[in-house]
Formats: sequence, C-alpha cells, structure tokens
Amino acid sequence: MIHSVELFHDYLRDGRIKLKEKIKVPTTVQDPCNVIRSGGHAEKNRQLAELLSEDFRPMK
Amino acid sequence: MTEDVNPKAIMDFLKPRLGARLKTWIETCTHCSMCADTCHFYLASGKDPKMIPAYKVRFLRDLLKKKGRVDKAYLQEIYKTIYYECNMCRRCTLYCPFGIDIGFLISTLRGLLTSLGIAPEGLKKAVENYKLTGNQMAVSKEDWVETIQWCEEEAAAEVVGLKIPIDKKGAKIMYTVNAREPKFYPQDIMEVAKIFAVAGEDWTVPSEKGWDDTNLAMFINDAPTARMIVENTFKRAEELEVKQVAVTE
Repeated sequence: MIHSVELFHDYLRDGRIKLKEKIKVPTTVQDPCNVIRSGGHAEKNRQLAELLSEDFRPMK
Repeated sequence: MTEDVNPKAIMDFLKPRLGARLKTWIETCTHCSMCADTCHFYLASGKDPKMIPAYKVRFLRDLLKKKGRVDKAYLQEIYKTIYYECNMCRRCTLYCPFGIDIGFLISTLRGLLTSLGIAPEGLKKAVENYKLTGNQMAVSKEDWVETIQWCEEEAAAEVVGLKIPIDKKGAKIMYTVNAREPKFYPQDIMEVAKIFAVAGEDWTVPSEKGWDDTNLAMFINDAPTARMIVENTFKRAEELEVKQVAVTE
C-alpha cells in the first residue's frame, strides 16, 4: 500500500515530475485524521505542501 | 422501559468483544481529562464538558452495568454522541496517559448500533452499494471502464502518448480511486493520469471491483463488509501481480 501523498511527494522530491509554477497565495495544511495518525504521513504531507507552495505556513 | 429494545441483542454484540483490551480500556479511565483539549469538538464548543472524549464513551460502561436494559431514547442519545460529537480522529488517543483508544471505543458503539439497524441513512445506502457492486456509488463495471476510456482520450489530448492501462499484469502500481471520481469528478482521474504519464510510472487500474478505495462500512463498523471491500482490492492486486496498491483515501 502506498498513499498518494507519499507517491506524489516522492515524484517531486526525485524530480520525476517538475512544476511550472508553485501556488502563490499562502497555504497551510491540516493533518487529516487517518493519513496522519494511522498512516504516518505527517512529515511527507507537510513537505508535499511545501514543495507545491511559494508561501507555506505551518499551522500553530 | 425496555419494551422496544432487546437487551439480549445488545449483550450479544458486546460480550464477545469484551476481551482484555476492551475491558482494560473501559475500566482504566480515571477521568483525568488530558483528552479534553485534544478534541476539536470540545474546543469548538467553547469547552463544553459534554464534549470531553472520556465522557463520550461513558455509554459502554453504562450499558454493561445495565446489562443492555435501556430504551430507544437512550440509544438515540448514544447515536447523537458517536456520530455528531466524534469523528474518530483518534487525536485524544495519542494524548491519553493510558493509551486508551477512544476512537476504537466509539467505533465499538457505532458497531453496536449498526447491529441494531441504527446508522446514518446515507452511510447505510453506501454500504448496501458496496455489497451489491463493490463500490459506494453503485457504478457498474461498464460505466467504470467506459469512464476510464474517455478520461484517457481527453487527457491524451493534453499529454501526448498518455495511457490509462486497464488490467495490466505485472504493473508496478495498481491505482485505486474514490468511487465519487468516476461518478462526479472524472477530471481527478485525468489529472492523476497526467502525473503518471509525465513521471513515466508503470501503473494500471483494475476493471473488476476493488478499484474503490473508500471504506464507509468501516465508519459504521460493519466489519464483514469493511473486510470484503479490502479483500476485493487485494484480490485484484494479486491477480494483476502488481507490486504496490496506491490509495487516495
């Protein structure tokens, strides 16, 4: 099993897909219940949002 | 008081589940309220003490004490709490000093009500759909395959050489979707096809049931159906001899 968060994160990290442009408006990410607590993807979920955004702001 | 609720049905559901784990969890809680501030229902309600996770699972201990002798109004109170005051995110569990899985306790209560025929109508319908068709939206095999085919056609107009391989044996990844995608959001399928095409991924989608990676039976704790849904996906993965199953849910 691989979750799409992990899959797309790895594609971007490894340069298998490249972005023409990143999201310009400020972004943040709210941890989804099961992907984070049962799936263990907290780090990659946040990194994916960072990779996609020019202005990523982690939730406080 | 008990004329329209059968206490035996309640105890028949609870008794076989009262293993060491469940018993320990029910009996260990000291109402320390460490879980209170972890709950978004508690915080969003202006810290209403009724929203403290430990309080929401009081029904289990109570049902056992009363040996299942409760009335319909009581079941309705359980229903309101376990469906509208908790979404089993399990954040409280992470903060519990005893590691009591409150999400699991809520899920047990949901399963109990499901066994008595009580669950949200929308979820009940979706679970019927899984049983009949293998997916929550009752999409037929013909519609699913046809949707994939025209998604491939449209997406290939944007990314040259794009393919959505159906039932490709030995592919690296078997991709599964939320059944709402073929029904309402086919553009999501096209977008992912573009990502896979550009990444040069070796992927496939199964034509037979197992392609819906949602599991709404889990939400009402209908364990046999939840199991069937997962088994469908694993059956397809084994038949197609793929290395990985990708899920979006």
